[in-house]
Amino acid sequence: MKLKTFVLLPLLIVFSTLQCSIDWLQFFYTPYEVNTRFKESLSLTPPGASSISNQNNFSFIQVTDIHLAEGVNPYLSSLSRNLISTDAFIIPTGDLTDYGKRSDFIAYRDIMNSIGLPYFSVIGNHDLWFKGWDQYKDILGPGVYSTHAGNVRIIVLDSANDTLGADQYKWLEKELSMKIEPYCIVASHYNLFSPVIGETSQSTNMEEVYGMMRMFEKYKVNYVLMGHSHIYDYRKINGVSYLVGPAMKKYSANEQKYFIRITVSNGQMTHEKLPLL
Amino acid sequence: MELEQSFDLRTGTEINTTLGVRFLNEARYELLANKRWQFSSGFLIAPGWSLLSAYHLDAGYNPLFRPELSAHIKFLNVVYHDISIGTAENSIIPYLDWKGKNFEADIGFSARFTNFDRNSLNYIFIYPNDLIQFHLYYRFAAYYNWNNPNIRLGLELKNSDWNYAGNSFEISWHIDAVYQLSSEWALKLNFGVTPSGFGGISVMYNRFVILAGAQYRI
Repeated sequence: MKLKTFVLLPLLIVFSTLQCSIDWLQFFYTPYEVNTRFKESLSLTPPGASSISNQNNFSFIQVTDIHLAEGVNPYLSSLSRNLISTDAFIIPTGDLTDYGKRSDFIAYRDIMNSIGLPYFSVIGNHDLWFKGWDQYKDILGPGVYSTHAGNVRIIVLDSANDTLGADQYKWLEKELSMKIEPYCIVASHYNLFSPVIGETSQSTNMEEVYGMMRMFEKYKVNYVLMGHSHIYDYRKINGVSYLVGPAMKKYSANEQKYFIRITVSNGQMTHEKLPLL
Repeated sequence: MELEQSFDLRTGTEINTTLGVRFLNEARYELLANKRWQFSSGFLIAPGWSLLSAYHLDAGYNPLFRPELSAHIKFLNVVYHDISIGTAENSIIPYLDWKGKNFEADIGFSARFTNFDRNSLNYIFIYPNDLIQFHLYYRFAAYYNWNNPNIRLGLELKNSDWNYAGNSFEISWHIDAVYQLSSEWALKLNFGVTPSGFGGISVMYNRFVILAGAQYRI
């Protein structure tokens, strides 16, 4: 009896997860390392800079962990009816698709284009699945870039392997040191901290995390926007706001989803977690 | 009072593909009194891309229900001295330890308090609220004597070490080899790799460690 349980239970688990299309091999390797993607990203065209009509009073949106599958995410599609006139751009912080499928990247791009605001996409670990990088770069462009929207410097990082790699780490410091805008947002997929007890989804190399935090502090980054853990988390450390957005992934019907609105007003940057209507 | 003591010294290299190379130097003392009370302490000095220092104090009681099982409480202090990192971690770690013939396991959790105030990095009584994290603390090791009772090979899966307690999914794979020269002296070799992104299922290996050392038992 015991032997049967020991043999059959793991087999059952393996077969049931195969049905979920999980790429188990990516527990042990990734087809493209972050250094390769970083080099390729530098040769790709980033999303263009955008302007903001009232630079003293505007807002922008963070959504994250959309996990678009079979071309559908009703929550992302409903985002446009939640926008207000001051919203100037959107930052989706990774895991745009569930399995890195070309058709899902195209569906994501089409939904975002239909919203009509500039958007600055971040690559997540799920976007790499099944060689998703080939599709991502073709449809959405680079995974690492620095651009601006009005007076906000936006630095997008590729942390989809939970590490920046040496080249991107140096590039980040260089970009931060050169920024001239009064506001700065860094967007990255992996959450730097564990939001709750027992949470396992977070960056694992804390020394790299501490090094990044010192850079953000030194160059006065306003917000670091992240995703990955699917759980909202906010903390302010040494003047830098670290915000993990709530996931937009569809688990079941009629779930209440949330998005983040960050508002710039009177020289202050603040955020709200808002229910998606 | 019956005392069993051991001293460990080891040295090696850690390669972090993002940050650089670091040289590890560790010493550890372990005491077992009356086969019941355990105490160990050790420190790490690691110059390289940035200076890292760490030490631990560990107290344990054995046996707990069974002769193989002991209960421990550990204090761990880790300081990243370099100005570009400048951070200290104080961790309190209760854990259980199982020492079988060919299998060992530690399992517990670490409460880690991170201090970002550069002026108080070495002060161990600071527990700021900025960043408190709770992580699993574990080490599983299976051993095999390779055609020779003096040579023992082991495979370890862990997120912890004498002077380290990683995040829950920071799972390192290690090969551990011990050559027993005599009843007092042993030579040790350890090689490990740590993937990034294990919990996110998009893994690349970005940390490698190799350690060589000796143990003296009294």
